[in-house]
Amino acid sequence: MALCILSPIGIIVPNLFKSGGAWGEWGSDELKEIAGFVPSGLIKFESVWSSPFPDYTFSFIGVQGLFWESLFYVFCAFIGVAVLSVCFCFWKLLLRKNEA
Amino acid sequence: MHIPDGYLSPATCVATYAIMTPVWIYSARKVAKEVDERKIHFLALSAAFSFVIMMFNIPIPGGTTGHAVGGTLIAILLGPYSALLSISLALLVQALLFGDGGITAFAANSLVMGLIMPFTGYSLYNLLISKNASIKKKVFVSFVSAYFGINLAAFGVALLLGIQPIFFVDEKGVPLYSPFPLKITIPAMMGEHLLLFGLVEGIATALVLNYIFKLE
Repeated sequence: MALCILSPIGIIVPNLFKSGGAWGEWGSDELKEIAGFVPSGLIKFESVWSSPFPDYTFSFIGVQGLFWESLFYVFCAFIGVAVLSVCFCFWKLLLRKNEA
Repeated sequence: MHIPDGYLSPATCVATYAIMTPVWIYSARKVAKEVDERKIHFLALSAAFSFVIMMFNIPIPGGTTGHAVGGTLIAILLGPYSALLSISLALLVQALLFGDGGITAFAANSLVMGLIMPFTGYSLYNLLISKNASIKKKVFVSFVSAYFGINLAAFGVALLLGIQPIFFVDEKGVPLYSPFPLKITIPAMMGEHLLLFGLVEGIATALVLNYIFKLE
């Protein structure tokens, strides 16, 4: 829980240092700047899946800035933990059922 | 360390899924055999911990970021098979919901962060530690094991990315997927993990274990 609330450190600090994303995790726009071209196979598979909250943001809400990004980041941390907890709750129920 | 979709060729993705599917099934069976309700709580906690700690991005000069994973830590506490399952599940949620790491690359990411990292850290830890070692020694060895665990995983990522332009190019020789050769991926991944992220992973592991060992 505490870690969730602290999680925006994970984007505020890189922002202070003006760092980009992690090495080798660029989108095709960033890759074009770095490598000079975008491999054709990469384009084909890059968007094979579109996640509801890409890069831990709520991109469908049109607000920007570090404050909102940080807030959404915390929400995403909670969503992630909640989804994982639900998975393990199911497992627990399954276990109870098998024991009964 | 999360490989996105498109960086690995379909053949590589299929190969990693072919490796990981039996590993997942074997681990799930193994863990399910010994699991009770108490252990499920610990598994849930470690999956959540791993998920959140991967959100703590640490910048390094040169414009990139990285993070700890907690693979060795979970493996020492709950065993490597439990670590594999909880980290894989955390990675699945990251890929499905947040686009962090690809779906096609999910098996590859599980291979390096769920399989290589915890099993390396765990084996090294058990190799170096005897049953009645002092807490201080255990904590120090956990630091070293976690450091090696994450670095071997980083090396795995470098290999996966770096072999793409060797095998998968179009008729003109232009890379189709990850465009960087081994001589770029290895120094890039290893440099940052040997110098910084390995230490971060080691320190995180040592701090948590120090706390838990003292409780026991």
